[in-house]
Parts: sequence; structure tokens; C-alpha cells
Amino acid sequence: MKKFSVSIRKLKLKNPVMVASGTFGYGVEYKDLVDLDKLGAIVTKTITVEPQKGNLQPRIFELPYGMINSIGLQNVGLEKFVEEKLPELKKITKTPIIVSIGGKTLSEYVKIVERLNSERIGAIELNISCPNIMGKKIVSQSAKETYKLINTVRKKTNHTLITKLSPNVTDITEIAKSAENAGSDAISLINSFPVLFFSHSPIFGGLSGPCVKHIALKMVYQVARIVKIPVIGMGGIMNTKDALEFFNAGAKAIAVGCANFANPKTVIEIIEDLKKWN
Amino acid sequence: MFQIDAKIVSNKKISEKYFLITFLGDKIARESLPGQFIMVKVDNEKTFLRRPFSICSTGGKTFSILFKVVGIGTEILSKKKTGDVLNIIGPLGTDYLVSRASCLVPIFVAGGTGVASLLFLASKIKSPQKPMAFLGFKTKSEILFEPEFKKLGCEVIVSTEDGSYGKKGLITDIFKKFLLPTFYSLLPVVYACGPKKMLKEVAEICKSKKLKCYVSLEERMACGVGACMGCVIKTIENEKLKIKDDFGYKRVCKDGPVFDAEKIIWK
Repeated sequence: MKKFSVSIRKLKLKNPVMVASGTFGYGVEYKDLVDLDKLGAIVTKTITVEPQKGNLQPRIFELPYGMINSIGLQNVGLEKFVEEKLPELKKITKTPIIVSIGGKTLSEYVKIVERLNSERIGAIELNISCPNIMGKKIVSQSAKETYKLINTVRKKTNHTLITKLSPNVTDITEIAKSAENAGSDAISLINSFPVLFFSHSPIFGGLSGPCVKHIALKMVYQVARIVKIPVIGMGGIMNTKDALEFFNAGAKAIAVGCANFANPKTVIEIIEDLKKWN
Repeated sequence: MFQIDAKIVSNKKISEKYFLITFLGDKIARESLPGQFIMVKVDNEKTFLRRPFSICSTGGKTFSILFKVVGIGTEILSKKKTGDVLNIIGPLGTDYLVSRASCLVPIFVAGGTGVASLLFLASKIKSPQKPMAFLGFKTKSEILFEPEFKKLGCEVIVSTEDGSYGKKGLITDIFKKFLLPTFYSLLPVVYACGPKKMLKEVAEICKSKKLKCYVSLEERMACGVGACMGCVIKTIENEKLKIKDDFGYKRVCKDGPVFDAEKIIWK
């Protein structure tokens, strides 16, 4: 079973399968359906300094091959997360918790990181790629901005830092290299793809599910060949076969995203299959 | 909350476009409360997400849902046969609170498939007064559960929009006319389930008469368990969030589907 475990700097995963940010709430929501102790890690919903209300309805748009979400980072905010949600999750599982964080400015990222420094968590995932915040540029669409943000945050924390990138860029390797150079300990690929759907009026959202799998696979493959840090692959993983494709592309770990909605048992089924073959 | 593979006991067409499907699953049957719902994976090819349905009744080891064919998911579901197995998560969400409904004079206002959760409630309450049931439909061929509500001791008033059966007009108008001072001085509690437009109207009527009203809402959902924040509705509460404006988003799947009508911002 030794081979089964994965290390991302200080973060030790008993298996390389986690749940992706935004699809698993604060973890506790799924406790009746998923044995949380079996997961490699739990990545939380993105936390911001202040509570966020999120976007107007509609927020969900279903496609036969995936879905579009326009949640807009609705979350309880940093304080309530640290005081309530994090202890609640820690009480029910020993599985490492990766806290996804987001901000409108660099100083907001710094503020959250500094607050999390006193908390025992598995890692921090920097969400610099959310497609759903109106009027705000996606940080990870610029190699320079990506470097600046990670470099600043890196100096403020000793937590393991994972950076989640947007697939909507000209050259993903350039951005990933920049993240590595700035001190990121791993790269998460990919966040949902920025798209538009019509529901009376046009609505911006993020596309995810099986329809983005091959975009994700290509990016994981490209990035894994150019950086030395681990790549965590995600995007439309619905079963063990999909998971294996990501490992073959070069991912050291994988995350299950909106398959949690379709079938919450997916992530456990993948872990059990991988154990059998290990 | 359970995730089970449930075998279909029966799938009956009970009215124009409406189906009643009964599943075998003792855990869900045992724990379901009126107002709660289940998430059904109807197939793995043409639909990606699960579909939410109110629980309509339970009996021993079985539970039933009512649905109208409105899209691809319900179309597929309507073709399922006895013996087919579907993956189901449930029971989910808040309930009407049978104990609360049993103490006072209950009034049910239902539109279309909204009759499902209210029939379940009617079957569980023990009220000192005869409950009233206002059931609204588009036309005679779509009428559901009139005899069932009567059998449970309710005084039933049916309306159709085209006047082909019962009273003619929207059920909200019939309900409004019925609420004379002599009756609402008895302080009835109103339970409503149906289209959002209807619920908004019922909520406004109740507010003007100072009657307590509980509504069961519907929204597009992804997870059904409170994780994705997809199905939110605007409410006047905001969970002590330090935001200055006067609204907050609540999850229909977890904080609802049953809400105190006063808390909803209908717009």
C-alpha cells in the first residue's frame, strides 16, 4: 500500500483521490453518503475574507454531458469557516483538509493565509481561476499576476500551497511554470471553463463534467512534463477509467468534481478499484 | 439520508401527463416525512444530474413520487417499468412538521404536482378540525387525488383554469374568496405547494390576513444535500452574516424545501 500514498511537500495523502473544491461543500454535507475517512483529501468550497452571497438564480444549467454553474463563490466567510465549519469537519474525519481560498485582491489572499497559519490543515489551494466573479479578471490568465500572487502568499505561510489554474489560457505551461517558480507546491488542473448559457438572459458560468475531460487531460499532460512539482488532475472524472487516464497523463493525484452530484459514491468506487490494482 | 438502489414496484399513469411511481426501499420509506424529497438518477446517458421529487406517500417498505412529464428526465422516468432499478438519495430537506400541522386548523393549497407532498401531510396529521384542501389544475384531465384527500377527511375544493371541472379559475382566487373573517378568526395555518407564482400569491393572501403560511419550494438542483449552493432562494434572513443588506440566500435542498412564507423574498 506504500505506493498508493502520495506526498505533496508536507501533505501526506493515504491515496491519490480527493474531492474537488465547490462540489463537496464543507465536507460535512456528504457525511451520510460518503465514508470521509476513505478519501485522500477533502478540498473545501472556496473561502473568502467576507461572506459572499453569490450570484442570482439560475445558478445551475444541466447538459447531457456535464453542467454549467454560476454559483459566484457563495460561502460563509473566513471567520465562520475557521470557527465553525473547519472544527465540525475535523470532528468527524482525520482525512487531510485542503482549504480552497479566493479573493478580490492580493491582500485578501494574504489575510486568509495568515489566519489559516494557526490552523492544522492539510494544505491551501489558491483558487485564482474562478470564472464566476463578474467584473474581475482571472488572475491565472496572466503568468505575471500568477507569479506575483503566489510569491507574495508563499512568504506568508509554511502551509503546503496548491494553485488551481484556469484552462482558458493561450499556453498553460507558461502559467504553470510561473506558479512553480513563485513557490507553489503543486498545480491543480483544471478549474471549470468560462462559458455562457441562456436562461431568458445570457448568463456567464463555468463548464465542467465529462465534456471538459479531454481539455483537462491535455493540460495535465503538457504541464506534468514541464514542472517538477506534482500535478493534481481533475475535469470530468466519472469513473476509474477516467482516473487512470489522468494518472497516465502525468497526474500524481486526481480530484472528483461534479460526479459527486451525479453519484456521491464515485469517489469511493475509484479508491476501491485503485486499491485492488495496486 | 441514504443512497440506495430501489426497485420499481409500479409506474402508473394516473392522469394526463402525470405518473405515480412506487419504489421498494424500507430505509427511505421508514424515515421520510411529509415535505421531504428524494434525488433520482433517471439514467446515465441523456441526463447528467439527478432529479428532485417530493415524496407523495410511504407504506411499509415502499415510497411513491408523483411526476409530470415536462422534460427529458421525466420522459425517461415515465417509461420505466416494474422491476427496473434506479439509484435514489433520500429522504432530503426539511418537512412540514406534522406536529405543528396537527394542532390547528390546516388548509392545504396545491397546484399541479404540488398535491403530492400535501397528500402525504394530510395522511399524517391528526387535526381537531376538518382540514380544507384547495386543489388547482389546468383542466379536468389533469385532476389528481381529489378522492384521496376526501378519504383522509379533508373538505376538498377543486378548481380548473378552463372551468372544465369544479370551480373555474386559479385556485389562489378561490382560496382568497373563501377566507372570510368568520373563518380566518379560527387562525388556520396554510400549507402550500405548487408553482412559484402560485406560492407567491398564497403568501401574499396569508400575509394580508395575518395567517401563518408554510410553502414548499422548488429550484434547479445539482447535489440535493446542501453542498453546491445551486438551488438558493432569496430570504430575509442571512444567518448572522455580517452583510449590511437585508437578504441572504438559503438552500432550497437543505434549509428547505419547506419555508415559513414570511421569510421568502418573492420579487
